[in-house]
Amino acid sequence: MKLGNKRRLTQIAAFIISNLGFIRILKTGFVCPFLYCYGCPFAAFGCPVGIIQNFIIYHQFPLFTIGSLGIYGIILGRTFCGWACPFGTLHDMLSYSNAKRSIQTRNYWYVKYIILFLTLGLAWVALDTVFCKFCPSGSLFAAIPFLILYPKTEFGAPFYIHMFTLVSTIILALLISRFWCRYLCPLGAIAGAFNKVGILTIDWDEAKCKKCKNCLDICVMGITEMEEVGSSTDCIFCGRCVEGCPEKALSFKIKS
Amino acid sequence: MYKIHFKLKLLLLAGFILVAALNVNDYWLIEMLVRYVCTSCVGIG
Repeated sequence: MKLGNKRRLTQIAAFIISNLGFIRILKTGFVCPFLYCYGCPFAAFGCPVGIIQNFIIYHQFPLFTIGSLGIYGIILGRTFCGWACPFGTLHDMLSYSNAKRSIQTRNYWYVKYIILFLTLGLAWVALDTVFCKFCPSGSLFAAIPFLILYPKTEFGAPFYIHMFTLVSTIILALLISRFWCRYLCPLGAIAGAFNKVGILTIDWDEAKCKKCKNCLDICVMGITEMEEVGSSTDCIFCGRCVEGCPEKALSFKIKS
Repeated sequence: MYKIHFKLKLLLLAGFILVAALNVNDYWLIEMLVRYVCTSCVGIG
């Protein structure tokens, strides 16, 4: 089976597993390794960004969440962004099939770190989950399902803010592949940091490489240097480069 | 050099497992968050 098909299958499986919470007993206290809002009526796991904000509000260290994110990160780095995140899957669906037609640049990659610090800082200062009020993933996977399930609920300005951020993100994702993942996702910022110390990597065989740069042209995250494949904070290990290399110079590798 | 590097990663992984295991009580707090609708997330709060 092609790598792309495997990725699509795991993305579908992750979406189904994330929604197993429609069975009450399967609403668990495990930390989700990707951005999936626990405001969704069917959510089975807790969104790490939401959990961390809640712990900050109550002036507690979210150590179980940090430990869980550390385990995910050390083993798989940002793989969950590429292979499981439902919001990332939406981006894949919206993006052009050929990333050559999208913007290939890593400019402003640091914005997601600013968003992360703002998310944590505002939770501390405002004692509220400020990020969640704007999160487009929450808009799509929590607000809209809630509206469908409970149509008689009165939705006010916060709901329309949610819709605004969702529509804006969708428009930008149509123009720039993986827009949210590249520039704004605070969880991507945390998981990306683990790419530097993670066990999984993408191995580049320089001897086989003909420097055609097809791998970089099709990168949905806009990685521009060969040395950054598999180690950049932006690499989501989606495997498009591995699949697209005509010389088979790239491969997934466990650093052992 | 590389082997030491890898061992450090494994040590880091063990550290995170320990942190998660020692704070497993948080599980119940997170479960509570998941079970009850986060109103700000759905735009009614």
